[in-house]
Amino acid sequence: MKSTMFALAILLTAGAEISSGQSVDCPDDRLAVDLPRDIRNWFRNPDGSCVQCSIGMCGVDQNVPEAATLLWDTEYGPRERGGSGPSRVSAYCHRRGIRAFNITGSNTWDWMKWAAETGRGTAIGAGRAHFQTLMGYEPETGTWYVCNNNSPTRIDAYDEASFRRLHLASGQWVVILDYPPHPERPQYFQWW
Amino acid sequence: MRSLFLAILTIGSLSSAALAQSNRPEVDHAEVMRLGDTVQYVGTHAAGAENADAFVAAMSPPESDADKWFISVLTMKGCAPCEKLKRDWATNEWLLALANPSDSKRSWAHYKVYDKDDESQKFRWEKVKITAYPTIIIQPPRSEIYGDPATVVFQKVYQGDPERLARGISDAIRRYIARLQTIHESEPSGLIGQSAPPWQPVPRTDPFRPPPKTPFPLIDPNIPPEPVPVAVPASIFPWSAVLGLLMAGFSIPAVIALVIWGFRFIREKRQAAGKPLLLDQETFDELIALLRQLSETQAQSAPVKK
Repeated sequence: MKSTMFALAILLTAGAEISSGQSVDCPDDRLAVDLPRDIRNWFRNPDGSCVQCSIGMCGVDQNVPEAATLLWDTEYGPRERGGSGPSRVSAYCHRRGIRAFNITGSNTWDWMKWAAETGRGTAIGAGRAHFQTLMGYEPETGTWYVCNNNSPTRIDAYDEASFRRLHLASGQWVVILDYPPHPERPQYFQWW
Repeated sequence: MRSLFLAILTIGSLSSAALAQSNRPEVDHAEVMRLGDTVQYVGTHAAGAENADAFVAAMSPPESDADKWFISVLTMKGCAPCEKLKRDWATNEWLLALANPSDSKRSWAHYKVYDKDDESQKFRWEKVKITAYPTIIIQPPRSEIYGDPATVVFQKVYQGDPERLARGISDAIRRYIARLQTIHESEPSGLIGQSAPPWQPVPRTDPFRPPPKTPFPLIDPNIPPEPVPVAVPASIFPWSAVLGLLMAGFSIPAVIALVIWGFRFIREKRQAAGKPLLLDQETFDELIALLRQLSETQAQSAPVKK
């Protein structure tokens, strides 16, 4: 009960309204990111590492182990836990050899749309002092799809106005990995 | 003064155009290689007429990142051919024309290497059959300009010949583009608290050091399937030459007949196994003709027994 109240409070603080009646999960044509629920759950955030959780999801989606393993001690580097700003992200990306666009300011909207259109996820500022993963954007309906690392099994849908409030609540900062997007899950169609 | 300003503007725009052009290579050699053996008729022809326009467009530099084809290389640890393919793709001009692993922006296709044991990526390959490594899978762009991006346009196991692989990929795309209009019509449409990740990430470098001459794996599912080779009739064994050797003793024509049979036998075996032939057909025919000629000369010059 206490946690529910806390979640509601956070939502209200951020001024975000999650669109109801839309259920979406991977894989889905509306989503740029393709990560099954159980893999997203690896990035559930228990200790204020939301930036690394968000980048980590993008790392798995684009098959970049250096980014996917940010939260843990591996041969790619020691774990990165706790809060981050653009300079810390820049530092650990340098250390691990991760290529990324670390973008702040008014252009973040265009970058997020570009990433979604080209099949990439984006780690985005979303909610007060919080980072989440942008999973997709549907320009026809103006719907943004976001996975919150506090509830990674769910993908939330936002309309334009709600998403705008969500993103602005954190300050305009996004991180996009500079690697190819994932391919669609391949299937055999007898075209020959 | 006004005309001077105009002149400066004109010179400035011309020089900037020349500068922009100088950034492009004079000949896009990579695109030439991607096209392989293609004849495109450029001129006035009816829309939809049989020509190479669609294929040439598909192999041209993509307009945007979303228009890039996908090349996925599925590998496994301790696999010498996998390491060879990765090395070849970093250095061979035929493969670099398709994808540049070290420069994704200039790469014609999106290129990614996946490890079969990477638990974080296994879900991607659940609908395809892969039993040998390295397997190369080609898929259309995400933008759907060439149909469903999930479609496997090409799937093959690397056999060690980069040019053959590159030509195979281009040829599969050519055939796929040609069939594109009809193909889909018949188809139904928290473990964060621990210090180790919840899956075993792929190692940064594969510690396996391959022994030289490790055999390449057997062929896996081939997409598109290669045409079944027409059975080549086995060469008739030259029994008469053997009998001649046994009955009449050594004779050069009989030995030549056996040599010709041997050459044919080896060639047919290689053809049947799908291995590259040692000589092209023209050279082989010339060699056989030369041997026959030698045999006839020897037969004519042999003393007549009375």
